[in-house]
Amino acid sequence: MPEDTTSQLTKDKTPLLSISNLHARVANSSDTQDKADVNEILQGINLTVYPGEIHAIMGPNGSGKSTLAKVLVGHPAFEATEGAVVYQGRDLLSLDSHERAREGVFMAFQYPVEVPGVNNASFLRLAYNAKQKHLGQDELDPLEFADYLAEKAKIVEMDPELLNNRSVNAGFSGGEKKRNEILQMAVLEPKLAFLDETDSGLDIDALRIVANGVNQLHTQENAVVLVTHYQRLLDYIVPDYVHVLADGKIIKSGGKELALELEEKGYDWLLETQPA
Amino acid sequence: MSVMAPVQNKLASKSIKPLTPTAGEAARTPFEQSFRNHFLETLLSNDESTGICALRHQALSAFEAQGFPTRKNEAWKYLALSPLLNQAFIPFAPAATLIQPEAYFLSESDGARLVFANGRYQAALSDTRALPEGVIFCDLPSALSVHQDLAASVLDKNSKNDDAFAMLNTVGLEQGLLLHVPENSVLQVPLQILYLVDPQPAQSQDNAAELANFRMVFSLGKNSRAVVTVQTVSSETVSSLYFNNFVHDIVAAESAHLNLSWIQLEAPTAWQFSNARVHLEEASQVTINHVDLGAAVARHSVVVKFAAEKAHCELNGLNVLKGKSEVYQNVVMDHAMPNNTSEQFYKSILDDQTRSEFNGTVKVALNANGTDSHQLTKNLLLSEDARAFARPQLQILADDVKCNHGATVGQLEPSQLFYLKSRGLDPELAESLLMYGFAEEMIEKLPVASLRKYLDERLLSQLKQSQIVTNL
Repeated sequence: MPEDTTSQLTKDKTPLLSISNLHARVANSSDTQDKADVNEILQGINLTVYPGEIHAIMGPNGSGKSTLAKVLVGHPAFEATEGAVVYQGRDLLSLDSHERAREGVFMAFQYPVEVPGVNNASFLRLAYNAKQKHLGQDELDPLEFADYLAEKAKIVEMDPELLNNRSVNAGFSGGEKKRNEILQMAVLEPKLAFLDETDSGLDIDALRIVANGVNQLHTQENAVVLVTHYQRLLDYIVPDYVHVLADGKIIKSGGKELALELEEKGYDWLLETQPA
Repeated sequence: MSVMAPVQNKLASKSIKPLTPTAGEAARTPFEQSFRNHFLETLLSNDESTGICALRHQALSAFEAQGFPTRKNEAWKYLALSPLLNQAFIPFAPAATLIQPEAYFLSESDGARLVFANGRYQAALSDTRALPEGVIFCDLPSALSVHQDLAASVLDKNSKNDDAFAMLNTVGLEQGLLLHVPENSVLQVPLQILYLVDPQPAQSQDNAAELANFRMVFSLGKNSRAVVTVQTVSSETVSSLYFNNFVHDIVAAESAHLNLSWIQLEAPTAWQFSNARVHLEEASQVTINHVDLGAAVARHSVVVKFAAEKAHCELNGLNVLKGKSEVYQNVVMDHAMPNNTSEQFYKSILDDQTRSEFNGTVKVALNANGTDSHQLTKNLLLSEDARAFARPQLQILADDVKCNHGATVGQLEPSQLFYLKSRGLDPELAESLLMYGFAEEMIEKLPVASLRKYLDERLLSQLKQSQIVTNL
């Protein structure tokens, strides 16, 4: 269990996130109770994340990695059916997705959504000010925000053209979209960020830029959870813990060396050793 | 382009139909009867000074043979014409109290502006000093007296296969304008045409409403470039029916580019039909952007004819409607020649009991290989009583073509909604922003900045998105 691997150092702190026995399935699957099990994608997840940590969640296709991230940010396609998720002492699952975001939960999308007609910089300012207002902090006017945004854009080496004269993700290349996700993370300064396959579709230069951005944004006060299929990303963003998800459960947790082992051996050796 | 043959010859063999009552009169609608009574004076005078008399007579004969469309006609399937056909019409009286025209002036177009009120040219409000020599930008009566051959050649080019209202426009043709951009002339200044409407309440014994037949002729010479904005505006206090029957004749010579934006901002009692006939020569490019924010019924028909190769036509439409407004978009994209490209993108945001129709047909002739044509219509319904009819159609006879079409009707995109909420926007703001963005995607295509700004503000107030107004 992940708790076992938690270092002595972090045990002194309060967990940022603790997930216990989380079950989830595709939402609105109007099947009977009997069939519900078939649609259950998460089948009892336990995971604790402390501030300052980086976790990597790995696993074969269809294991439920992305679903876990989506359930935690309130994606309407999934619903939790059992278990508890406590974030900063609050029941995370009872909050609507926009409330979770304002409280500091963030997900970088695997497939960032294009929103034609909505200016990228204006959108970022609306999102930033929504959070600031929620936290009782100062909102920024367009000029102030332009300065703030220009600084943040440097973190992911983002072309200002993509901020000021373009709609959100509309017509962006795959790499530009992923950078835009990390830029949003930089602007919103979340406490808990899920990066859902952020490395997919990136060439090596773009991967380095995105990883550098994440490393700059990671502090002792926040936590990052990487959902990834490949070891490659973990060469750039070094995790404290690696968890292997299979069939909706975490079947193994370990340090960063676990990722290397997986890279070498694949997932099969773990799956075979799993009790049926 | 070829200049029209001398019209006198054509006319000589024509016998003019008597307009006295005939056996068929009993069957005539109030529209048609009043049209005959009040709109044929010019025709009857047989005044040859304008050189288009034969055209009028041809159009009248054609109209008599064809009559008004019925709903069996696919292009008119969803539009109930009866309120129009049961209405008697008289020509517009001169405008009494004008809407403040300056409020609609686009600063970029200072010195390149024509203003019309109730179809009549307003010389005092118009100003074309910024235009280079050789450019003709004037009202139609002036054009027909000074540049008769030029105007007539364009008018004649498109006169076949008209619908009834385009025919009647020709029959009653008096008012309009001509733009001619000579060869190699690239206009830096965007041109503005402001069409103001201030109707009288329905009058006299037959309760007649007002009607104008208005013709816009756009002739672009080889390698010329022009950007044109038309706004049709009526005061918001207007409460009676009136009808503007527009026809646009657009001829783009080799490698000419025209970008035309047509912005309809009329009262909820207004009827507006427009028939645009676009003729594209080799490597020419014509873009037409329709934005409709009002009217009782607006119908835009665009018929595009590719006369050579390597030309491109782009048609965009945005309807943002409330109340009982209806907007019908009818497109025929005729790829009669190979290696031409076209795009159609029409969007509607429909509230209350509004309705919109996109009826677009792409025709690709047997020899028109290399055609690349796309059609897309997206409709957002904000009310259970709103209706959107999406009818993109392809008629493809050639083999080597790239054509696609698509249509969506529904609510806001759930994936976009979640994306915005996942960044902390509350659901109401996320919806407002998406709705605004839905329209803005089309507004962004308009080439004149002050027009975009004006429409942004107008849209925000129309969509009641004050939350965005204060935040964007």
